[in-house]
Amino acid sequence: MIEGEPLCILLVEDNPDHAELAIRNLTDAGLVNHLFHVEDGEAALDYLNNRGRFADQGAYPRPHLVLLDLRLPKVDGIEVLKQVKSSEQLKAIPVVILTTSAAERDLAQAYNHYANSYLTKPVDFDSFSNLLRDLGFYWLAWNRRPTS
Amino acid sequence: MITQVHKIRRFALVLVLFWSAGIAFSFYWFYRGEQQTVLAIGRAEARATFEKDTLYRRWATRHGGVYVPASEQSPANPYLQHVPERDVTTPSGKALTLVNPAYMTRQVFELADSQNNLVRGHITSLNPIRPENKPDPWEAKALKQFETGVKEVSEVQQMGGRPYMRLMRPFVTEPSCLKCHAAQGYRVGDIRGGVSASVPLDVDAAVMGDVVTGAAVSHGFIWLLGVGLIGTGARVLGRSARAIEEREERYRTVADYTEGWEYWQGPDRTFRYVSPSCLELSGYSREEFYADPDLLHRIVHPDDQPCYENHVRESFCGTPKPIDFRIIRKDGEIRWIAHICRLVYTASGVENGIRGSNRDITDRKMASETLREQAVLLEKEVRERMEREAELEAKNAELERFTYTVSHDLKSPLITIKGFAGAVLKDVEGGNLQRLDGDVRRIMGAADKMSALLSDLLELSRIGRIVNAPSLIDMNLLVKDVLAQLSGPVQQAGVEVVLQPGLGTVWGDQPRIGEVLQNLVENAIKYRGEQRQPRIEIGMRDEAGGAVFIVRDNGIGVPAQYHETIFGLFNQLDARSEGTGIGLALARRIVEFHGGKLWVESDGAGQGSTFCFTLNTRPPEPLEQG
Repeated sequence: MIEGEPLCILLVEDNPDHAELAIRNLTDAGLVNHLFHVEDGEAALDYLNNRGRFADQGAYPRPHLVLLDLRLPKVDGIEVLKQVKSSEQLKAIPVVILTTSAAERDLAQAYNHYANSYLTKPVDFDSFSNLLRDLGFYWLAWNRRPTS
Repeated sequence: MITQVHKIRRFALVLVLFWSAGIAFSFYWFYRGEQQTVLAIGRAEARATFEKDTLYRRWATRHGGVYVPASEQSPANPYLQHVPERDVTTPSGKALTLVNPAYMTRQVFELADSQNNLVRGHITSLNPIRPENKPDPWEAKALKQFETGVKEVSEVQQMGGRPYMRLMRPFVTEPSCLKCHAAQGYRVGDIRGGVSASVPLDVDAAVMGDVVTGAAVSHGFIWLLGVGLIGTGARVLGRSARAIEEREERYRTVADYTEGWEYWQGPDRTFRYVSPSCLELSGYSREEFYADPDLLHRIVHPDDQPCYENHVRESFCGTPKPIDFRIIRKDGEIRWIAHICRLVYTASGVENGIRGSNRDITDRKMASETLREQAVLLEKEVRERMEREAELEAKNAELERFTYTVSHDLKSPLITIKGFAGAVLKDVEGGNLQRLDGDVRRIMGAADKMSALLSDLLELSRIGRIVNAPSLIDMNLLVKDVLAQLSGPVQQAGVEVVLQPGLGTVWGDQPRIGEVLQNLVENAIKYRGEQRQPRIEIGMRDEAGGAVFIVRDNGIGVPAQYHETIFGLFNQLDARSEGTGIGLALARRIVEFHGGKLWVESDGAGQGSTFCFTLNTRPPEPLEQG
């Protein structure tokens, strides 16, 4: 805990198993104070804009990091990314793509829409655990953010 | 065309002949008149002479003759021997002899004879006392005529090579005559002789000759004048006729040798001119058009009649527009005509009918028709090629999406399996067995999902490859079959299913169409949401494009923005729902493979959904195998 403020992650993942794996690894690394999980793109945008069931800003604070899957029901991951990065209020939030796809097209699209990082989910369990731990450390511990 | 000039020449010749005959007749008439005048003058002269002679004789007769000195020229008359005192002597001794009237007259006549150009007289009788007084043959003839009662005889006679007007009158016996002639038995009133007078005519004839010459000259002059006038007139007329003929030939050549069919129609709609080329175009000769002003109208193709009539009406109003129409030739062949016309005016600006041109454009029309057909063919080919390209592109995109999806969706359960297997191992090592059960279940679930995905993918890849022969499908029977297979889930979910009767028949691959229906009904059951009285209607509605089959539910509905997304491969709106997300993609592929369409109609979340699809109602073309 380099800084005293509580760290908050928004996980956008439609596969409940993958979400469980991510949550478990991040929690085990002891890096996260608050982790919010939503299952589709629409919900993610609602959370970030504090709309609908996420209207309470106290209960659903602005995340320090968004972990975004690409293939999502309703609103696609790329669409979520596009909306976040074109919004004056949201574009400063680092968005890390965490997806099964290693397709060149997805990579290019993500970076074209100002993704901050692109990660492919490793099939191997250890790699998966390491990746999430390193990810947490990098973005939440080493990475410096402007004070809000 | 020199006939006009010829005609004029012939007419001029006839005129000259008539003129000459007239002049000749006039001259002849004049000449005869002159001749008559000469004769009349001669006769009058003769008569005057006769009267005078008679007067002198009568004077002498009244005096019983006269005494003249006896001489050689006047010897005593031997025929008067019986007359007393025939010879007397004057007291001075001069011998006198009695000269009787006849003797006196003869002497006077002999005196006249001795001089030229004097009127000659002659006393004569058929029975003369003196033989010298016997008549010549003409006189003898006249004397015989007097005995029949003729009072005067006159005739022109040649005497001594000169023409003479001879006139003779009878000599009637008077009482004084008997002094000498009583002895011959004469009685008073007898016609015993006559006196003739001969007037030389050549003097008068010479005068007449001058007059006649003058008349001949003047007649000749008038004749020449007339002939000259006729000649000049003929030449002038001929020249203008030739000019007219040349002009006519120019216009005729221009008009008659046109390629198109030219005509001039008068305000009364009769043809004033039709070019001979009409025969080539229409098969009718110009004479037929002249004879029948309605002919052109009649040979217009029945389909083009209204258009043509409209055009004619406009033309005579002065606003003609060019038109194309068909005509039926005399031999029945149909020809395309490009027609153009305009109003014409006389030199003084009065409307004078219509000048029209018809051109045969059958070849052009046929060529453009062929061109149009070819263009249509080409267009069709281009369109087909574009469709094929689009199809190919769609297939490529689908393949790409498929590969992508497969790589993503098949990897996803693998991550789950390996991830939780690792967690299980770690937990087992750490003796932490609390989460074990749940984690293993997750692993098994992921394996099941993968298995389902694999079988669905296999199914998807089969569409378009394994084809059952298309057959005529009774949709009501098929739906009943599908519902029978799904009777379990239907009853479990408590769904009321309504099937509209009379869905009709379609052509297609029966098991595949069954799969589509099964998919749609399963979806309707699966997404019934919190509906208390779930209901599914299966029916049909008629639209312009044909029959549309519908599967309607009153479930959760589909918001407008997801109407297309739901048909994508492995796309699921609800992450927690069962299935692989392949059902609608599969159904749409089957329907499209049958040449139909599959889409959804829904007013949004909670409003229910209606899935619609079309199929072939006619037997399809033989399908591509493989």
